[in-house]
Amino acid sequence: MRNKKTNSKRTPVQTFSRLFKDFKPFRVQIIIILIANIVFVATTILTALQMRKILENIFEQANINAITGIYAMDYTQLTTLLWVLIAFFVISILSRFTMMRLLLNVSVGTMKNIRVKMYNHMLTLPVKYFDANKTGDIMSRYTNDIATLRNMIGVAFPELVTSVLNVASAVVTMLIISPIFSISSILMLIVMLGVVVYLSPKVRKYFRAQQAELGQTNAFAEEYIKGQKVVRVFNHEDKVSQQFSEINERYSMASFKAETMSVSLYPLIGNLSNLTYTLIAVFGALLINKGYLGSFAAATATLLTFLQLSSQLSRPLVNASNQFNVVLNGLAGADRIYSVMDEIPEVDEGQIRLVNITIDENGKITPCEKCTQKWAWQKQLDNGEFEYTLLRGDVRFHNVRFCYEENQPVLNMIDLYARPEQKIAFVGSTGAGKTTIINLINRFYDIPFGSIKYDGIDIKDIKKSDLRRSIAMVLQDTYLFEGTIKDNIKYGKLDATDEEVYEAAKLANADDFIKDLPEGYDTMISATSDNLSQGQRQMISIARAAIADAPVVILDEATSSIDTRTEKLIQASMDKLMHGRTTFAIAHRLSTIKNANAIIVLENGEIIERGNHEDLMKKQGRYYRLYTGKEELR
Amino acid sequence: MWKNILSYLKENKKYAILSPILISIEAVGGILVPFLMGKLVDEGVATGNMQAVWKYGGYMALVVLIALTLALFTVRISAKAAIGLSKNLRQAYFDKIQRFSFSTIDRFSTGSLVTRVTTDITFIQNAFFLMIRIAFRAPVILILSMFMVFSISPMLGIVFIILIPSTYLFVILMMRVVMKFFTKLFRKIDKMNVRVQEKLTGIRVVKTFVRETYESETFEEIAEDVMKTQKKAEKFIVYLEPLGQVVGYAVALFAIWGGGLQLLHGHISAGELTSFISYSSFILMSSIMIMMAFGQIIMAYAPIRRVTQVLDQEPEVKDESHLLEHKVEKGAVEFVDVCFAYDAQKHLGDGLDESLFKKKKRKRKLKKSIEYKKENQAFTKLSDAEDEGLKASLKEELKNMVLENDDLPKDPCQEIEKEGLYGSSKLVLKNINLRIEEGETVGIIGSTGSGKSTLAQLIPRLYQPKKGKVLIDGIDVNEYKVKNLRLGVSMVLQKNVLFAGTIKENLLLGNEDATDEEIKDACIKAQADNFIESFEKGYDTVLEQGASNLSGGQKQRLCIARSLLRKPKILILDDSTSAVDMSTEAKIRKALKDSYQKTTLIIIAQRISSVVDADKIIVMNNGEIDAIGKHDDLIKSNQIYKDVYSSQMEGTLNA
Repeated sequence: MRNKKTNSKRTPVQTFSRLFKDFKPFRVQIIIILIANIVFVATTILTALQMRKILENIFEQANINAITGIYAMDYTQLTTLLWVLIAFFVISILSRFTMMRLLLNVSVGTMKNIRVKMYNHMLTLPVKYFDANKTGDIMSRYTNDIATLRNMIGVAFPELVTSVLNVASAVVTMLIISPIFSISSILMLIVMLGVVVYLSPKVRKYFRAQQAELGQTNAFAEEYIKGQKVVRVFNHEDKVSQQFSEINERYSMASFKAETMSVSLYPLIGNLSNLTYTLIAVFGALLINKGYLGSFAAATATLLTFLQLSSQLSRPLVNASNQFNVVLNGLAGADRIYSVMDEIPEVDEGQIRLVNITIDENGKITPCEKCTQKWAWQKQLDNGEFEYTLLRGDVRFHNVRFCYEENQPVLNMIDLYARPEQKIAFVGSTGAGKTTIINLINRFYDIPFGSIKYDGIDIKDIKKSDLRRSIAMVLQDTYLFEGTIKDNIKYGKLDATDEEVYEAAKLANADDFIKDLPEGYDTMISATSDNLSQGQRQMISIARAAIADAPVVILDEATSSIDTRTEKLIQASMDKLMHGRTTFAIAHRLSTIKNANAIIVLENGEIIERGNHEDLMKKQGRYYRLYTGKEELR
Repeated sequence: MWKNILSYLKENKKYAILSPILISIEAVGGILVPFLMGKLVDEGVATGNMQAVWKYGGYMALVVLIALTLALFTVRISAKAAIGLSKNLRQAYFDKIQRFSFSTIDRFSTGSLVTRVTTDITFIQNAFFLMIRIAFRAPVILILSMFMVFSISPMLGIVFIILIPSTYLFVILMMRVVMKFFTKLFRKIDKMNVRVQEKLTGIRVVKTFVRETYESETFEEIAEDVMKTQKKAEKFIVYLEPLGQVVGYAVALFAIWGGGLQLLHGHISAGELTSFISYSSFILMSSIMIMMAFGQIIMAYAPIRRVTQVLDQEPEVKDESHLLEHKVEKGAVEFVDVCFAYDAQKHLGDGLDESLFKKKKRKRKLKKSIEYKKENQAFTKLSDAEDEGLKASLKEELKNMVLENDDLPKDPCQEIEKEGLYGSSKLVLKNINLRIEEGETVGIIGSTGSGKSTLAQLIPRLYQPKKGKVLIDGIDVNEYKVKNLRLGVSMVLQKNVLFAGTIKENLLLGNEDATDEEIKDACIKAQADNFIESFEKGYDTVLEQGASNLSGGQKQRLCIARSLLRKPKILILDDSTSAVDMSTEAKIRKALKDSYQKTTLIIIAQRISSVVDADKIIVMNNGEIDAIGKHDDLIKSNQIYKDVYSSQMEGTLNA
């Protein structure tokens, strides 16, 4: 309806620092992870140095053996060296394990916290927010965005850190072993870094292009898969296939570019690393022969270590470039999540509460906990005492104006008066403002002009939750939730007994068909399950409203998809629900509202006719034309 | 399963074959590098021979450069193969869905069909890409490295032969456990998401009943549970990584220790030790790669299954080759003993895996029971004859089981009502016999689920009767080519769809060759011209997705105009005017009657007023024809018709 894209003004750095706050509960664990990471990298350096020592020792002895011709060996020194190496191995494994294990806690835990936070925040958002944002969009924050965020925290971040540390540690080790020798490696490192830095943005660009094409493909497929029956009826398969093939071709091209570019990075860096290897070998041999690297044994050991280390340079580089993309995605996801959390929640400045009361013979009202069926509005006076107004269900609109967007009034100067236990019906085309009016009563939207009074109290002064508790609603879309039928009815009153559930179902004419189900009230249903008809779902939602037992009822009638007989049943149950309650009903079939105390005909946000059935028929206006089928309701 | 998929490579087959070959060659290059390195150490460094150093250094550089060019080339080729595969697959998939019969569409949910086009096929593409790149490269490296290690020292090689397979085995066993946890996890995440979605769409209910606190408490519990399950599942992965490290270190240690000893005893040279250490890490790396590729290929099975499930669907309506090019000439319809039931198997896409699983389980149970009986048999020492009898009965039992699962009943009209055969599906049409003459206007009335729509949908062969025949002009509808049949019979569906695009484009869907005059004429008759012309851009007004910028009544009138453009012999309106007001509807009916006198008109309606003037009104009840007659007769003689009439007249003064 009102498609407003929330464009965030956060920079990635700001998003990151915000994310940092969400890590707070895991501060200690994160510090341990960092320490473990440093230990891990340090042992990597030490391991390489130790390996070099061992190799040198072996080469030295081998040299002696070759000269003397006696193949003996001195184990003592070698064994000590090896034990130290094993010790490094163990420390390295332990530190890595600690890191990974704690990381799991942090990433999964943060996910859970963010999920719960987002959900809780979402519940507080005004209905307006849900009008402006498609369910699919909001859902994708819960699924896609949380998944990318998870990937970033759990995989990309640590990998990125480890990769950088790995490169750094390899460079440090090389410098420790031989500064001259390091020159060739560092030169190659710079070249490889250059390649990655040069290619990465291109890869990203191509991927973005691919994503856009994917969106097109998806949209087309979705539209035509949904409308497939129509395509079949008109024999249009070939034409549609042809169109799809064009879109498919474009997507494939974009995909080809993106894939080729990103995958090329691997052999490119891999072979550059092999080239480094060669360079080190030749350069090393040169240095050895010139005697720059000490004895043959020491030199060969150095050479071998360098070769090992050179492979440690290339892999982290490719890795880092990939993870960098994941981090960017993750931050974008985090940004979208935070923009939900930054949405302003419903304001609730109302102070007046709804309380259970008893009335003694003198008419004095005293509050009590769940003692009676009687309710009153409780207002605290300045002197600390309470003033009580009996809840009756008297609703008045005075000069109400409302618009969703500025300068586009949806309701104009609405005056309404519903006495307790009266039935008020609204008639009008789609967009005339019927639904808006009933949404104002329970403050799904707030009015900028005019006032709505409930038992003489401005509804703005009533605490929202209490206001809504006093109004039961049956919506056009039934919105049953996953669970048993009993659970769904109980949603109207969480602590209801089974007896109360059956009572409510009977009132809604639902008891009969529920009992006929193999599992009765324990039958599982969901928003989409098809074990119930539309009419039956409607009746359950009526039962749900009935069990709430509120003094005011709002009914949005079921649509034309229900056949006449079922409609009669629903009508009967709605009538029972309305009995003794102030009712606001939106009618789609005029036959159902004939007995209303007042029928209000709306057009373009204004009341054009009002009165009871007889009055309006006499008037021969719009209602008359609608009722006699001379005009169409849109 | 991959085999089926690979047949969609088509023109990219050559790339798919070429790329593993080239990649293997590239891998050989990689293998050569440490070998040359060893030579360089032995002949160049050890002896101080600079010439040898340059020589082997040069070789190495050459090999690397060749490998690099080759690699960059193969990336392109393999990408071509993989993306070509997914492109063809996507096209075939989409084309297949476009040709689905109605009963097949009913079995899939649109959501799952859309996911398959993109997500699943992309997954297959990635798995295939990985397969032709790594699944060949890694084994080549593994085998060649092993070979090199053996040629350096057989003693050292043997250790790898023991070490590598045992790690594989361990990891595979581990994966089996992990998979179980992950399936559980995914199910829980799914459930959680369903809950969020439900509450998102039903936010008004949550707010109406003031259940925010309740919702956040229950959600907290669910999220907590998901977190615990996730930890449990992913813990295995956390264990797996250090384990890989252990293996890696063990190999390194062994390379140094074992290799060192060999060197000390003079069995190998310093250069050979150098290359040995490199090969050790090659073996390790390629082993990990194989494992990963293997995992991906296994993981691709689920998407492949989902996609092939669609590709393997037979389009139910198939033109047989002998069919003649005859067209619908007059428009007389006849139903002979027609029975129909919808297939019970709903949402095939999501349910199939489970049902397969159940079937397997049941078969396993059955086997067990047979074994059990056999055991018992040994104890009680049945006579041979009895033994035979038991065997026969078991066989029978097995047969029945299979029958129950796999076979369709031969005569649905009778069999269908036996419990269990069609699951929850009921007979929707029972022994329908009916004649509609050409040019007649026929109304069909009945409550939801009485079979009105189904009856009409059999005429353009959108569904096939389970029993009996539907004839048009005396010819079985199956004897028409589908194209000709649907050109002659146009149906305005109940759930009608307009596509994104201009109004004109949408109308042309009915008849591509329609002229502007014809379009306008059809719209005038469908009472759509007025509102179309009231738009600023008239017929070029762009409709949004789902035509959300039109009212329900306007959409319906456009859909009628679209069908009129076909100039059909039989026009079926399935509740197509429910959102149109009565006076406009009457105008449409009048226009149809005046201009399409020879067209057989079948109107399915909720409102009596829609069918009151029909030549014939059919009253449907529970899949059977309750009565056929004119309004004036039915109002006297038919109870159902009377009921419907009286309930509707309450709201209307004059019909």
